[in-house]
Amino acid sequence: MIKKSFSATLTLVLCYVFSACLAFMCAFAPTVFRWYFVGYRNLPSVAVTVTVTFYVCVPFAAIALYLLIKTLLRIKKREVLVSENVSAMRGLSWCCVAVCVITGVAGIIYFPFFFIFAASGFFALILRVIKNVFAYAVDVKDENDYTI
Amino acid sequence: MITVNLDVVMAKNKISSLELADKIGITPANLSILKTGKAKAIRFSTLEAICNELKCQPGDILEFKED
Repeated sequence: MIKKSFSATLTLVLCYVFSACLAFMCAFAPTVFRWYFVGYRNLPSVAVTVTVTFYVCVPFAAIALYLLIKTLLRIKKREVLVSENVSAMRGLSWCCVAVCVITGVAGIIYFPFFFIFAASGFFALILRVIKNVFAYAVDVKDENDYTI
Repeated sequence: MITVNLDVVMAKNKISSLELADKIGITPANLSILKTGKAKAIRFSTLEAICNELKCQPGDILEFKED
């Protein structure tokens, strides 16, 4: 069985790797998308759509990664059922909603974006449910902590 | 709402928070939560220990006031 602390550390490392990937793509997205959609698929108009959509989504991805890393750092400090984590979940959910809306609009121009639209919308819903469970757990913990 | 009059009963018995906390077996921090009315609930065992130590009734410590 994987140790709990190891699991949190592994997730944290993956978040940092994902952040590095995001930074790399921020710097080289036009080149990568031009290479793929113009050079490889011969779809120049799609390259522009994908690049613009990507850059519009980047701030939300960055916020989501920041919230994930902050949450994981709190979990490593054994601060799990705290209101800050509930706020982070709410923020993550709204980031997913934002990406859902952006890709929903972009999907009109380039159909495969609808897959991201559906996935992010579904993930936003899952996060809302987890956020509600967390909020309830925080309430229960508060009540328990304040029972003398 | 329920208000806690523990500080009044403690003053009548001339007992400090540290001393009472030590005698009833809870931390001074928790006793402070109870005294300041931040507590959401109190265990019967804690109430019993307080009443036993301060020689009083639960009604002396807890009071119902209409909002």
